[in-house]
Amino acid sequence: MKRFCRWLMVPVAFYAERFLLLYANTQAMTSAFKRDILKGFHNLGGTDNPARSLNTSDAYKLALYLATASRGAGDTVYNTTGELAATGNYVAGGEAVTLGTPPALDATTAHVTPSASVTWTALTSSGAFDAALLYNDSHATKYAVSVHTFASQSITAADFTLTMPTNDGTTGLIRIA
Amino acid sequence: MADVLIVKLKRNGWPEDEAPVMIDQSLLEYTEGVLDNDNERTVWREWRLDGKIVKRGAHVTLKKNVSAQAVAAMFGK
Repeated sequence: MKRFCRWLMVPVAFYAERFLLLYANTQAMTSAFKRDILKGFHNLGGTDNPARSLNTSDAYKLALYLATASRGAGDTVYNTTGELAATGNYVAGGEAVTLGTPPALDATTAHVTPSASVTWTALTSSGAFDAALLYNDSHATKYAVSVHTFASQSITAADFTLTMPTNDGTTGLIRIA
Repeated sequence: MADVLIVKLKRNGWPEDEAPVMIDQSLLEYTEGVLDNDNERTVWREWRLDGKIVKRGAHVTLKKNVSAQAVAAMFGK
């Protein structure tokens, strides 16, 4: 039966692959994030926000997406479509990020960057992936922040680490100029 | 020679990977590479057994990231 299923899946996989290759992940701050920060949906660190009754940083996560996914500026919330399968030590929703340094100004540019690398330990990825979505995990809606792309990677029984750029007005992970 | 933890993969979309096992490092072919461009610096390491990848890790350091331009418009425009 299993051998028959394999035979049956070959043409399906062939055409599905070609269809999915029409898509690609695009690095971007999501448009919705620009709106949502004006509405006070996000706190990316710091406890000095007088506008919020719960004056603590929100929790954020990074989720990994297959190279065939289509994450980009149009994302509004965390989306499971195209995310790595929850196998090989990958947990759906991704890994938590550490925001140890609150947003700051570098001259006229505001910036914030997670203060530690994010590592998926002993990962075996369900396919090649080339993007990570940063999103707010404190709200049930899981508002999207940004998509970050990199060269496509397939990981087998080893660690995958994302190290953050220098946190300043030129290279910080999230910047508003 | 140290042992390396490997996984023997049986892919094509079927989750039949074998349980991880330890294997003598001398039996594996090791390669390492670096990709360095404006967007990222990535270092990858992989181990092959009989030509097949049995372990592969990567470390991506992000460089170029996302920004938005803040605009305060003039009244009446």
